[in-house]
Amino acid sequence: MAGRGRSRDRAGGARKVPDAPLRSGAMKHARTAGPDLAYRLGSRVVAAVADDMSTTQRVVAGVVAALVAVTPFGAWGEVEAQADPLTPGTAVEVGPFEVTVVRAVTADELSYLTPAPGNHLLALVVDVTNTGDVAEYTSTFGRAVPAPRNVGIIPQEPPAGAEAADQPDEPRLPSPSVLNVEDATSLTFLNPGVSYQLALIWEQSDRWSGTAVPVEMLELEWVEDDPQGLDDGHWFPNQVAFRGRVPVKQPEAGER
Amino acid sequence: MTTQVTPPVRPRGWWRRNAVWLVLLPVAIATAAGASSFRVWAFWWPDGLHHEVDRVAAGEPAHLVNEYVDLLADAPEGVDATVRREVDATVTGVEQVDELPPPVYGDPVVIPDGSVAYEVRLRFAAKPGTDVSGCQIILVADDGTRYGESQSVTNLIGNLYPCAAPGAEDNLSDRPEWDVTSYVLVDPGARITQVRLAFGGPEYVTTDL
Amino acid sequence: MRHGRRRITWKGTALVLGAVTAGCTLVAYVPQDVGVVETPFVVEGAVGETLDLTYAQLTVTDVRVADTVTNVSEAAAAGGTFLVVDATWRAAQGPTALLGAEVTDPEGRRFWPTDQAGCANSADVQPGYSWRVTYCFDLPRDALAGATVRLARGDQKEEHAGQRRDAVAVIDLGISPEQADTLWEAADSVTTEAPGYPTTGGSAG
Repeated sequence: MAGRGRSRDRAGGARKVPDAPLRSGAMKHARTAGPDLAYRLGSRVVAAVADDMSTTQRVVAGVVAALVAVTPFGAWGEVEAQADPLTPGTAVEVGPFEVTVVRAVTADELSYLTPAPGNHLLALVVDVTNTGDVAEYTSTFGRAVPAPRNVGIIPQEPPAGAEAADQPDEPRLPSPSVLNVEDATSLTFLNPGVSYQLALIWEQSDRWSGTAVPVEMLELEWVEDDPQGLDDGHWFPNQVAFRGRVPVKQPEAGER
Repeated sequence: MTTQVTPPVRPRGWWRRNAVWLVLLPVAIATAAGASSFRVWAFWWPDGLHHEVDRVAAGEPAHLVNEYVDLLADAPEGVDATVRREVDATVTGVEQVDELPPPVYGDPVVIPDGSVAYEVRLRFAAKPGTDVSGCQIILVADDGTRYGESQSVTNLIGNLYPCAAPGAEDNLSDRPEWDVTSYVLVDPGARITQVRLAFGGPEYVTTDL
Repeated sequence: MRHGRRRITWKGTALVLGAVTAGCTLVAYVPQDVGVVETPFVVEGAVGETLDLTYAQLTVTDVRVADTVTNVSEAAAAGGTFLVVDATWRAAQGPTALLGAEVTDPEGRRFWPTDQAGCANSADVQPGYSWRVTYCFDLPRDALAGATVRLARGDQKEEHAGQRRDAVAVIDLGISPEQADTLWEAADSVTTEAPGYPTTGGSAG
């Protein structure tokens, strides 16, 4: 673009540029180049607005401009912290699964799961159906149900060789062991359209003697493209979506 | 306004100006491909038999050299040391058999319908203390089909270390020379032309029959 | 050669915006998924037919439906009903791991095999012998009629990503809607056998 090198007189920001017609293909040097179009427009706007302001006013104007600029990016959206209620007997949607909490029970032993002395097993019984159109890993569902907190669930063992100083302050609670209630087997996949009654089992300390446990279910978000972990196409457990209290039934004699 | 007069210069053609870089271009492409070939040597090369280290005729010794990382500290070098395994193997006989010998434990193995069994006899020579676990005695047919290569399927006659000397206690050799007999299931009608020996690869030796 | 400050020009801006728009349009509208270049080679067949998949030959020998599947260590109860597929593989080239096993119903839902009670969900084979494998799929009632089973070397995760440009077998199990009702009502039990050599009669191929 041929520079129309007019020198301009503006209050507080004049820049004299020499007149120099440019031929296409000839070299431009900093001394002879006209300023960028964007620079010129920008300078004009800024000069018209800001030159007459004091420093304080300029700072305030800058902050206001920044706040306005982030608005289209959702800076003022509501921070979701609400979880819907979770009541036994009412179905909820957790990712591709339709889940109904049935009850919670304690037991001394379940199938091949044997707790350490001084502990027993806490089982949360749920009805689960995969409402999607492809099989899902049972462990995907298990990861959407974090262990109930503050009811004496035994934390998971730190990985072998980890230093005591490296452990986080609050020990991590394990994912549940999941068993099919009908036959006490473990299922790798939950096929679409098939309903199962599953027991989500954690080891719990005998010192806990409550009558109900708080149960949370996390929202499972479908991650189509995962640039970080390169694990495209998986369900990601995110925030708490449902929260409720489930009464714990003590086992009667003869029950599993 | 000033006017500029540039002396007219005939520009050199694009090809001439870039001649040197064009010559270097194939070199650059080859270097880039080589530098991006990490997956070939990290994943493909170690998985399978890709490197023939010796090729002999039947009756001659083939020299197999194979390096591995010793995870179980079998060899004196210690855990996780890289150990060099050297074995001289001579094929002394390959023939079809109608019956498999009884295994160490359990019932005799019947040759399944639709398969024939071959007996392969070899003579091994190696320094005592050589780890002979994980050996693969493979028969190769003229159409390239490889029989007996799998390490995940249990040995036909229930032998935990098929390449160990008869009566040996474990996977470390205890004598300088010994005979090995192995059995392989083959498709009926296949024409066997080669015997290959490997210990997990990628190095292997071939004996032409 | 240009020295000095780069200039933002109308022409340059138009060029960049045009290129970006063209690129976005291309990406959005030109089909990118496993379409033309990467489709698996589907070999279709029926129960009892031997299919040649280049790396192996496959025959689905038997199809049963049962409410429970048992073996020496475990008895599994179906959430829906078990579709038990017996297949015989014969590898053709070298040691091969066969990882793909899936049942598809007419709606397009995909069901994966269980590993309860000795059911297999993969097979390791090599040339020289036939190898019998039993797959068990826990299906809902409406998936039985018109179900097909898809067996292959590559695995079916991520929209059959492991089967790209590879041969797969799709076998119509031949279950009609009337048969589906009968099969669903019957409360049979199947005892599985561990994978092994075929026990009776000839081999595949």
